[in-house]
Amino acid sequence: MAKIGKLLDKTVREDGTEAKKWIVVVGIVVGTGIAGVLFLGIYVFADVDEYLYQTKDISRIYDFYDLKYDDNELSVFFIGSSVIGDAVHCYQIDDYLKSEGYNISTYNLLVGSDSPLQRSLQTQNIINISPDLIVYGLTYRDLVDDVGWNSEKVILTQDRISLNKDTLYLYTEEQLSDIYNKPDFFYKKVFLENALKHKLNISHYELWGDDGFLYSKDPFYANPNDRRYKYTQPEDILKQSKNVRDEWRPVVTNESTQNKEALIYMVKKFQDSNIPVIIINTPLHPYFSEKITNESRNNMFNLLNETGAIWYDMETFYNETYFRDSHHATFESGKWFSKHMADLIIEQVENDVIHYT
Amino acid sequence: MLFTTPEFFIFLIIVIIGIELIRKQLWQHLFLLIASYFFYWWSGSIHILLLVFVTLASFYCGYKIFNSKTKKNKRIWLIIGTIIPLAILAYFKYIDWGIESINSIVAVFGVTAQIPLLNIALPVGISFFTFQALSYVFDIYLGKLEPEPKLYKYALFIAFFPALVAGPIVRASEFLPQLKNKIRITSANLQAGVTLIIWGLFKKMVIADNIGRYVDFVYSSPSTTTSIYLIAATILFGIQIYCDFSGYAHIAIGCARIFGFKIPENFDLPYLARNIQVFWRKWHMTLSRFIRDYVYIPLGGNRKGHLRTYLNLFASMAICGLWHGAAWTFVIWGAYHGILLMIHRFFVGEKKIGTKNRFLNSNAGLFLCILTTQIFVFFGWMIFRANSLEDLAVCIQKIIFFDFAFTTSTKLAFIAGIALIVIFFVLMFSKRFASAVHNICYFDYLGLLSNQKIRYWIIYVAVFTALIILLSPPETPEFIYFAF
Repeated sequence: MAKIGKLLDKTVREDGTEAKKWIVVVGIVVGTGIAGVLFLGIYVFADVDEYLYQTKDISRIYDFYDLKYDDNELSVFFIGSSVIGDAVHCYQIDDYLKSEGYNISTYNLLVGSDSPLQRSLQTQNIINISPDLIVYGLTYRDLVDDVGWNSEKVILTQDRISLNKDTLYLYTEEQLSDIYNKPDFFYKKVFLENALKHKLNISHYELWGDDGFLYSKDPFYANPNDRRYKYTQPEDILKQSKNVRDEWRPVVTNESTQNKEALIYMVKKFQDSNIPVIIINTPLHPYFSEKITNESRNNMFNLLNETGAIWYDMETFYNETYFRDSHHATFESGKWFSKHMADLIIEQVENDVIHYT
Repeated sequence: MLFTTPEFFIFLIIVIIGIELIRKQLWQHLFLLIASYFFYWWSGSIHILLLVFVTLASFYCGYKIFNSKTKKNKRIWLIIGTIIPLAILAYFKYIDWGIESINSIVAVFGVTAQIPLLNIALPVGISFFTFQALSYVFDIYLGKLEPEPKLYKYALFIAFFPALVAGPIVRASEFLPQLKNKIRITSANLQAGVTLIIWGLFKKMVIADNIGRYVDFVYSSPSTTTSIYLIAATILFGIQIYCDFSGYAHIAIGCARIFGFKIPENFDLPYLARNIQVFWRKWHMTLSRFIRDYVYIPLGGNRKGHLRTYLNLFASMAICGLWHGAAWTFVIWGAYHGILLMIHRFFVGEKKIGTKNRFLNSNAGLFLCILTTQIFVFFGWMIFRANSLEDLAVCIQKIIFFDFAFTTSTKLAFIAGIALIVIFFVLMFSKRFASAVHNICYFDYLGLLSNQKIRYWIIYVAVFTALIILLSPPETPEFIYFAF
C-alpha cells in the first residue's frame, strides 16, 4: 500500500499548483483523440464489415436479387424463415424434377427469423426477378406481432431495400426509421465484440458465404456450423411445449396484425404481377401442434383464404422424427420435405399454375 | 437533449466558450440562463412555458412571503407558493394515474362507465424543478433564506441546465451565493469537471445501458423466468439504477463544476450502508434531505411521540415513493422502505438492540449488516422495477416459492457466489484485510484523478473514452430518472 501511495504521489500535482487552462484543453483533445484512434484501430482490425457480410444471411438474399437471370429459365422461389428454409434442399428438388422431365430451377430464399412484415420489404425485389412460382412457408407465429421485426437486418440492408410508397402504411414510425436509418460507424460498433471474436477464432458464428446464387441453392454451403445436425433433447422439447408463453404456441386472433396485413399485401402484389403463390402451413412438432387452439387454426385458415393464394396445411404432416426441435426439420427429414415440395411443383405444372412448355 | 448525445457536448462546448469570452458577470449569467432555456426547449419544447411559469410564480410568492407583515399573510403566500408547483406537478404527472385508479375502483363495483384518460405528456424534469422551487419558498418561510432580489438569478437557479432535468435537487441557499461572483473557468475546475463527466458517462453508457437489456428481458415477462434469473435480474437492476442515476448526477455535477459551481452530491456509496437509515442518507441524498426537511420534520419528526414518529416515517417514505412515479408499485416501494425505517427505529433507535453487540460492531459484523441491509434494499428494487402490480405479485411468488430451476451453469454460479460471500466474511475477521477493503472502498478516486498531472490524466481520458465508445450500445436509452 505504501508503495502504491508513493507511486500516486508522483503522478499528482503538488498542492497549490495548477496546470494552465490551455494545457487541460489540449489534454482533453489529445485524450479523446487517442481514444478515437484506439477505437478505429480495433474496428479496422476486427474488420466489422467483413464479419457482417459473412454472418448476415439477409445480405446473401439481396445479392441473389441483384443477379441477372435467364428469362427462359423456370424458377420457383421458396421464401420464409428457417422453418421452411432449413427443410428445402434445392439441388435434390432440381434433380428430382429433372428426372421427371421438368427443367425447373428452385431457390431457397431463407432468412432466419423472417416474418411477412420483414419479407414485405423485398416484395419489389422479388417481382423484378419474376419467378414463375413462389412457395411461401408460414406458421402461426408468423401472424402475431410480438415477433418478426429484426431491426438489425433491416438497418444493415437499408440501402438495398426498394420500398414502394404503397407499402408505407404497413410499418410503424419506429420501423420506418429503421428502414431509413443508414448504418453508420456508431451503429456497426455494436458488432465489434463479435467481429473481434470471429477474427480471433474465439467464437464460431454461422457463415453464409459470399455468393448469393450458391446461397440460394443451398444456404448452408459455406456454413461450418450446420444447425440442421444439432438436436434438442425430446424431454427439453416437451418441457418447452408446456410453457404457455412459448412463442411457438401463439394465439392467432381474428384481429388485424401487421404481419397479416403484410402477407395479404405481398400475395396480392405477386398475383398482380402474374406470379402465382402457394402458401404452406409448415410442419409443427406434435407437442406444439396439440397446443394450438382450433380458434387459432381457423383464424389462420381464414386469413390464408383471404389472401387468394393456393394453400396447403402441412402442420401435422410429419411425426416427431421429422423435428430437431419444436419446429425445424433435421437434415434427413429435409429430404422428405423436399421430395414433397418437388411433387407439389409438378402438381402446379399439371394444373397449369406454372406455364411449362 | 440527452447528456449522452453528441449534440449535448457541442452545446456544452459552445456554452463554455461563450462564458469564457463574456467578461461581464451580468451577461455571463444571462447567457447561461438563455443557454439553459434553450437546453430545456430542445428537451421539452412547449413545456418551457411551464418552467417559466413555475419560476415566476415561486419567485413572486417568495418575495411576498418575505415582505408579509403578519404570520397569517406569510402562511397564505406559502400555501399559494406550495399549491401552484404541486398542482402543476399533480396535473402533469398524476392525473392519468388518478383516473386509472378511479376507473379500476369503480369497475370493482360493477360500474362499466370509464373516465377517459387525458394522455398528458410528462414534462421533462418537472419533479426536480418544482421541488427546487418549493425548497426556495419553504426556506424563505422558515427564515433560512432571504429572497433573491434579481429575477434572472433566481431563474438561473431553477433552470440551470446541468441539474434541470434529473437533479440533484439543489437548494437556493447552496446555489444563489455562488452567483455573487463572476464565472471563472479555471483549469482545476475544468479538469475536475471533465473527470466527473467521463466517469458519469462510463457508469451510464457502459455499465447501466448494457445491464439494462438483460433486466428488461427478464422483467418483461417475469412469469416465464426462473427464480434464480429473477434474483439475478434484480441484482443487476440495483446496479443499473445506481450507475444510471449516479452517472447522470456525476455528469451534472461535472458540468456545473466546469463553470465553477458546486452542486451537492447525490450518492455516497449507498450499497455500503450498514442499515436502512444510513442507506437513505447515502441514496439520492438531495431528495432524502428534501423529504426530511420539508415533509418529515414539519409533520413533527420524532418530537411527537413514538406512534407519530412511525407514522411520519411511513408517510414521508410513501410520498418519496409517489414522487418517483405515477404507479402503485412506486407507492408500495416507498411504503416498504417506510416500514423498514419504522422497524429500524423501533429495534435500533429505541430498543437499542445490537448497538452494543461486539460482533455486530466488528468488521465481520459490519459486513453482515451491510449484506442484510442490501438484501432488503434489493428486494425493494424488485418492487420498484416491476411493470405492474400483477407482475409484482408474480415476482414475490417466485422469491417466496423458490423454484430451484437451475441449469448447470447457474448452479455453479450460485454456489460460487455463496462461497465468495462466505470467504469474504471470514476474511473480514482479519483487521488488515478489513482495513484494506475499507481503504479501497472509501478512497477518493475521482479526487485523485482530478489532481493528476496532465500527462497522466490524458491516460484516464483516453482509456475511459475509448471504453465508452467501444462498449456502449448504439442507442443509449434515456436516463431512468428522466421518467420521474
